[in-house]
Amino acid sequence: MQLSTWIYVSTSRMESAAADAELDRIVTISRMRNASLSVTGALLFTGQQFAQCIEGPEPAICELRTSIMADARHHDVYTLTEGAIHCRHFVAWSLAYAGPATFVSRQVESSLRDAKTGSANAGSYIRLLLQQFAESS
Amino acid sequence: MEDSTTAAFIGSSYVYIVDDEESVREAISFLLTSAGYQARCFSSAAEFMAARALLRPGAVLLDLRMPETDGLGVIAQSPEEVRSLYPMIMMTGEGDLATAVDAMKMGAEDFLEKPFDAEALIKSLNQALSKVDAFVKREENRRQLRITIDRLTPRERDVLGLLVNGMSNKHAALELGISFRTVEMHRARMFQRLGVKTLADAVKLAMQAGVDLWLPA
Repeated sequence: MQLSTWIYVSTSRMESAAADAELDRIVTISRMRNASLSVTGALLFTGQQFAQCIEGPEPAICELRTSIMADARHHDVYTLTEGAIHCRHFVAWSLAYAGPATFVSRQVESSLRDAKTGSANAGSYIRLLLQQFAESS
Repeated sequence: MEDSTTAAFIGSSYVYIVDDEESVREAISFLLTSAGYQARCFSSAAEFMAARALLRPGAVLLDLRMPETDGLGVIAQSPEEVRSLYPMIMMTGEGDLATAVDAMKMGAEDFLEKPFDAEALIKSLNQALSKVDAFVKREENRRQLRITIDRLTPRERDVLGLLVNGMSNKHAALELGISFRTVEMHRARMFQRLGVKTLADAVKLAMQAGVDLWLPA
């Protein structure tokens, strides 16, 4: 089975007062759904932006991507990396980070800027950021 | 005090700068003081740790690299309840991604790479300070609710405990070996003392207070 990945950054549309509860719902559903589709990866939420990497069987990634693109809780979905990969970078799917740290939003914003100006490394950088947070310390 | 710089602070405006370099401490302290914060400097982790218990809740700007105890050492020695009152922002000149993420996983609130501009610093500080305010408010609310619950009689508390654990009046009566009517009476008085009208509100109040409502033996 061909392994595929998708890495994107998007802008939240969630009201800040409801964001915590909404994020809990997203995480609970994603964890179950991704496990059942053998999809691994990680999600990050800065309060304003989402960054996510998903990886798994090509049809599953395709299906998830369609569903994520249609989700009304975010917009401006910008793809940093997409396509075939040789091996997985994550052992499971998890919420890597959710919080207001300006360090994290700076990394997400600068990667997005890099990607929009044609850098091919922005996706790998976001994946690395997600991996660092997802790894158990 | 009606001017806009002080009016911006609803709660804490305290910032504690912990850095072994005097020039850095002075520069940050000057910047923050002119922006309306109450800044206080410490030249070592030990000096800060010794004073901490006496400090008003506020944000801590911690240098990552310091002789003896470094910034990570301070975080490691600060349990979560301390970090809630004194959220810690790491500053470093030579940080890589892994160091930053590790510091945050240990409990750092944020990470600033030197040299940082005033805007980045203030944005990070305001995030941390609003977290302090929210925590202080929540704790104060909890303390008030605990006082209210402490005013209940032991029997009313038993009834609250059983109802919170999902028991009906009838089951509570059986459990406590008292009559259904007596349970109803305790329940009505308990609601009155807590200032609630419904069981849902009583349960919510008990949860917010974080009281451990034991089940009577």
